[in-house]
Amino acid sequence: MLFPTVTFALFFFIVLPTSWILMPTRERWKIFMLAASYFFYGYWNWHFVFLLAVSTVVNQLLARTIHATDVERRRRAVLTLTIVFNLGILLYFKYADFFVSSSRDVLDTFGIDAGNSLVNIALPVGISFFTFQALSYVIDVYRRDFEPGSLINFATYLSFFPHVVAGPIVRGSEFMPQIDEPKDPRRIDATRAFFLIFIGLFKKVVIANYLATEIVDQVFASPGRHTPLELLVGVYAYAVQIYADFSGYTDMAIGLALLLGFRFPLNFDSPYTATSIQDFWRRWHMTLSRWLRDYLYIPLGGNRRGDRATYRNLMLTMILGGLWHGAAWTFVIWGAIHGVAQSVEHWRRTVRERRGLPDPPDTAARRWTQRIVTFNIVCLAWIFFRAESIQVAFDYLFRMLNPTEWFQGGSSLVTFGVLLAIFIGIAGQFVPRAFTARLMAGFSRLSPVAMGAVLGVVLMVINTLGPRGVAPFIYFQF
Amino acid sequence: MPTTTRPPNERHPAARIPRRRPLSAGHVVVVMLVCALVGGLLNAAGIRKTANGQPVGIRRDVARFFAEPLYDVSHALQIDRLRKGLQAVSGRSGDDDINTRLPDPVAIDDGDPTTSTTAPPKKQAFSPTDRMTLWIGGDSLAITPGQSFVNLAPGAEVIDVVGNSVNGQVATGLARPEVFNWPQHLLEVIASDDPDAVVITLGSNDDQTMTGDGGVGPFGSPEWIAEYRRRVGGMMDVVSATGDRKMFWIGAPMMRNEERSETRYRIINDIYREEAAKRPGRVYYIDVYERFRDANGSYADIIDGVQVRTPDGIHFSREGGDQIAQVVLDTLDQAYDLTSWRVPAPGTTVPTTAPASAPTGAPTTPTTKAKRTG
Repeated sequence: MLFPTVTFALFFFIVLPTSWILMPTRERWKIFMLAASYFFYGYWNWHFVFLLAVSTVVNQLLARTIHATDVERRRRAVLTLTIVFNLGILLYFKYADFFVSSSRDVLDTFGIDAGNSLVNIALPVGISFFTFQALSYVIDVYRRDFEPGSLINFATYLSFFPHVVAGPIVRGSEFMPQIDEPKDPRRIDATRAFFLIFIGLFKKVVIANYLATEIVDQVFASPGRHTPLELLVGVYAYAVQIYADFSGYTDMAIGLALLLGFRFPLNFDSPYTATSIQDFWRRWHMTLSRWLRDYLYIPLGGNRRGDRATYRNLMLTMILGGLWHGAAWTFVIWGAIHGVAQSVEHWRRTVRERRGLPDPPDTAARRWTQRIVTFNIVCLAWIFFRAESIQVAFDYLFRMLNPTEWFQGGSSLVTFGVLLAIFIGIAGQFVPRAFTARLMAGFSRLSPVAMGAVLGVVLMVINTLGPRGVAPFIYFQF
Repeated sequence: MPTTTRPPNERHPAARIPRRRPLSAGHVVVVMLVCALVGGLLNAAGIRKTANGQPVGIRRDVARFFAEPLYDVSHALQIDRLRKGLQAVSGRSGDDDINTRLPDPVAIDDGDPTTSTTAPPKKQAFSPTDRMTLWIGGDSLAITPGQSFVNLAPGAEVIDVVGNSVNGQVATGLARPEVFNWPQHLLEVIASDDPDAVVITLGSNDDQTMTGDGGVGPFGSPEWIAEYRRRVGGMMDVVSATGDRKMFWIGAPMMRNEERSETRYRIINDIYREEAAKRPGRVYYIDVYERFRDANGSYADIIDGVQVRTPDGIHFSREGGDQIAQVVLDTLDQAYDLTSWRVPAPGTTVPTTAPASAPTGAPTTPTTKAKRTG
């Protein structure tokens, strides 16, 4: 069930009032929300409901076991089991074919016929998201940051439909206390929720889909048939498409949760305004970024064990972050580019500090230069992220950068509409927060009927400018 | 990695930002209802089209039950003009039109190729200076092979693919013209691009009750077969009845659901084959059904160590698409003269057998070259 569909609208029309009606009787609310979330998740493929249920029960059991003992060896052993269990699920569903085909390729190079069989496992939607959430829950219990809740609370948290398929990756410590805290049905931050939902819809339905169909899919399918200008604009278009697609989804998820009385952490904070790659990762997919930081980078030693270890940790974290997206070497290279870029930034910072040099003056020209450089490094990595294979990515890159090709042929895909959509996608990130806040405050003063009428017109604009049908969200595959 | 991230909501202090007035849950529901009503009336034409495009059955009936009166009200009050205006501004006029008219086959005497004693007509020749314009498209199964063909075509040096892209319309076919009217669309393609060759893939969505002119069900009944035959023949004639334009119709491949393939797609493919045979020299049926079997005759994802299908057991992988594209190129080579321009004039040197430049993902030795230039 996709958010921008009539089916979901009908589903939410039932869930929202029922949720608020049942809220005072908390146990009934939990059962209802659990059922609604499982229905939502099972709507794609009901078989995987069992996977979600098994993951819930096993992780809760493991968390309870860790919490029940003070014997460190036992706690560690159970934690190891937790990691093996969760990563095992991920490895099986996401990476089995990757390992089989990579092994077969290696054996092929030595002339060994390894046969033809692939596992061909259907990927359960949202598996990377709920597995990471479950892992963080058990690890937080191990670290004694958080006490395990009841099974139904944990099950409600893990399956909560606004975030179950594509995040944001909300921690148990953020969500589970909200389940039992009293909520006032007379004080819903509906204006912010509606803004998030409709901006998310616009980003996904209009911007992301338009760019995908008008230029991105075509240039990445056959880079050899397009001009360097089309390829350059194509990668900028993809940068905007993936931002609009993913942030659009999480905006909607945050807004829907808010209408149900739950607060989610932000997942995007104007990432293309970043002035460095490190800054980019503070703004892009923030809930994954902090997950990797807290459960991988820092446990590896972070930046506290010398330069070499820092570089190693940065590279490992980013490459594993790349692999989180999927089993392909293109994702490894994507992660490696980000790892190298951050290592260079760290090296420059370290050199400056060792020489006792002051920070350069923070001028507008310097900030804009940094933004442009950062954006283009991010776009370079996007080529590998989007391309079907490493070969296609390099073909794309070499053709785009080949000076002899630059002045040959027209660029029919570079249209005013494409450039406008790219401009809106990037310029929208520079809109001052105060402006949006004032706009929301003004909107919140309208009567409910006027609010509904305004949103109805916005819905018409989005529906009219969007394509017929809705393309799947990019991050559903991760 | 971020090491100093503050909680996102604290990044920009909320000082001097005006406060938002909260709403009650009841008011939220009112907002949603009004939004649905206003949005529904403004979008009524689009909703009606979406409702008509639902799979035939109770769901479509219910959707139409609500959508048709909504549209009538919106149209009567001229509320739909706002959407129409926006569509006109964005160059998408006609998006909401529902055209279910489907052309009949045209009676043309193509002769009986099995009894003809005359020499076959000379093939139409193309060269780098007199290039073929080719349009390629169809349902979702057309997309990957179409992209592969776009990559492969430059190797032939005589083919221009319209727009350098595939005209893929997901979840369409001939069964449901209100979802997408292919004959009408091809008429528009012919008017705007005038292609020499049309390569189309259809059928995988057509094993259902038909709607539109002559709509009939259930699938596979004699009435259904007769009507589908009429639609296929009509579309073939839309493309090929006039001028020198030829049509290349790629049938549905075997799919992982073998029972469905054998009991449904075989019937559809047989109709394509038979209708193409009635139009010799104008329409060519390209059979890819048998291509995706293993040694035991069962559906296969992997053939000769190459993964040719996607995990859904329906669509083609890039490698599978490349194989189909090569079959299309070979068929074009049989239908047209694509290579005589390579034959050297007396006293000149023999040109190389390799394509001038192999495009991304293209096989390096298209058979088109190898056969003619050796």
